[in-house]
Amino acid sequence: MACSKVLSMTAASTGEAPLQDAVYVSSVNKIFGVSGVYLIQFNASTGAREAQVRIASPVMGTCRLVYHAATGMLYASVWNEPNLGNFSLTHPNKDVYPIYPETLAVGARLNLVSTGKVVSDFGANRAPYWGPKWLGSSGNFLYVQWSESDNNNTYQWLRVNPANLAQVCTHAYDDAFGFCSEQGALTPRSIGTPLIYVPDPRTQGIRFGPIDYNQDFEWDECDMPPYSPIACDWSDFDGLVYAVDGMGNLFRINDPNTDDFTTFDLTVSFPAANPCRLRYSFNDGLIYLPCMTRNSVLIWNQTTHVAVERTGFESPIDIVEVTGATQKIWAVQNSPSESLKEIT
Amino acid sequence: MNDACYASSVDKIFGAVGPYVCKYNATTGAREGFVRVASPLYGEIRICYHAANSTIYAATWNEPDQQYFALTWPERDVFPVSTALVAGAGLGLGTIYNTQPSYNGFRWIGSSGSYIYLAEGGVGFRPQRVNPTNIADTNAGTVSAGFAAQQCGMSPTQFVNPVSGFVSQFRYAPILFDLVGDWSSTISVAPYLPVAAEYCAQNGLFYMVCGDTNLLRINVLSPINFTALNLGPVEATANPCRIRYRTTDQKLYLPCMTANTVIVWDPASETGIAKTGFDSPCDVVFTASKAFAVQQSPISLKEII
Repeated sequence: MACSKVLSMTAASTGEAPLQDAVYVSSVNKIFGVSGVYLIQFNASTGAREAQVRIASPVMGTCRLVYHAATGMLYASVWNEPNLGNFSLTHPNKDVYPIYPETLAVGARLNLVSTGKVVSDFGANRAPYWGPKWLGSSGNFLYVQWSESDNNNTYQWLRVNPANLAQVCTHAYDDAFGFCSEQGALTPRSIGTPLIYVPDPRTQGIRFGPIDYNQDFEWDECDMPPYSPIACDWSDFDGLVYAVDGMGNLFRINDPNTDDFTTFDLTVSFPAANPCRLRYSFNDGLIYLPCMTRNSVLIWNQTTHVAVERTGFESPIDIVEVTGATQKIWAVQNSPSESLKEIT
Repeated sequence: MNDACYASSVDKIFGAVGPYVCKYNATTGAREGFVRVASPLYGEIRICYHAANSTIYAATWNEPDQQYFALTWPERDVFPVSTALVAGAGLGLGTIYNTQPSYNGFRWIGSSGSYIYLAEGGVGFRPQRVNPTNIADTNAGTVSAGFAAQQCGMSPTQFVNPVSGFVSQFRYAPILFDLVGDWSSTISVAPYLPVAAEYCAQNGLFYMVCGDTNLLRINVLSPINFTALNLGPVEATANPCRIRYRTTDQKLYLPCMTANTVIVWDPASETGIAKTGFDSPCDVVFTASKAFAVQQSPISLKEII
């Protein structure tokens, strides 16, 4: 197990923790968020910070987070920005790390580079751009969006069994061109043929394929020019995928096979609305769109095609939902004030 | 926190947390207020205190993967923030220089005399000298391959710019550089990869750190003569990516994020000690009487004792 130091938080020592991502883990009834390269545990009822641990130490790094029910573990993807890519002590830390939600102990990194599926180094301690970004979980697998761009801005999607690293697949577009998206979508394994959806802002579309794709599978793409989708989520309400482009447009993907989608311009009613993620709520069946610039959260009704706005937030960038007996929905804030703020 | 500066006119520390400028009590390190400078999604800023007009200036950017947000990248600019935490309109430098969104943005920012100095980031980057009260008085340095440095060094007469990234080089120019022609050709410090530079008034030399255990003392800028000092005996996993000279004790401070230590280096004796007990220190800020580690952890400031 990797060395890690868990710190309990007191009211006087809370400091700043602007979050990039958060997940709810029902088994321990806690919310876990990531701020820089720190994992922070929050009380799911009050949003109060309870403990923190440093996951890894890429200088000025950042990470994304997912809960993987198959192993009962949290997994954090860690990277840092290109301008910091040359620190030889730093870039090997770009990897995926398991964390025990009960103790916040950080386990040994998966060492995905060892699988030979991703580029580790461009030479001379040069590791610009590469690293794992968005993470998803379904069944036995983690889905890892891995940016390995040098000057070509390429990325890959990995399907990884963290309990058996020999089972690693990359998607067929080994030279996918563009930057990582903010969020992919995984349809439930309980319905029909489960799919994975991958926004590609540079090629202006959403790629999709079977969730258990093999390396040689050729993905299909829902072409969406002139739009550049950057995040998508699956809606259990109507069984469709929704996407945003960070520029005020919400898309409903009616049929990805025929490039059939509907665009809703959120900025007509909410100028400068620019959600870059979206979350379907299993609590109320609505879609939540955090708008950092407006300091608000839009709540989209898929039936009426109308959004209502909740205000009073500070740089909301994501949503985390507490399910079960205590149903709450929190804005994940990229601000120094409150990391989490309840949406009521 | 990514960066911090001390504003002597109000005896406060200001720190950069994401796209926010936070104000702290200079004695206790307690936060007293904050303001969002701009809203580049998931953006970050570097800041400096510009004594000429008692104003904080914040240089903003966000990472390449966020470049597609049309609402976002035009906000990559330099913004004034009053010591009362009122953010002003951008200087418009993004409009002037950011003709494409990918990678561009303003990284390191410093102040000297009437000017603020910037490292404009990108796969190619360049330094700039800007009079914030007269934008027409803006001078761009030469474009270099590599990434923006974590920190440029400024002496009373010279400006030193590490070519951060994958080449073992730096450039320098007169502190009042005007034109591309004022700049030196790239100076090699192979095999070392400098990422930050600082001027040490104790001996009148520049020092550079490389994100590893090497501390470079630049004995002569040209023809280059330098000495690589080994921080390893002080801290085996030292990886400072910034370096600060403190006038009051004439020492260099090197924050080591991985080791959770701050090395205090005496340039006179060329010895150092490692101060422990920090949590991801990435920079150092000095007040009139104290030194604080600037931490990447949720505890932003911790006094160095």
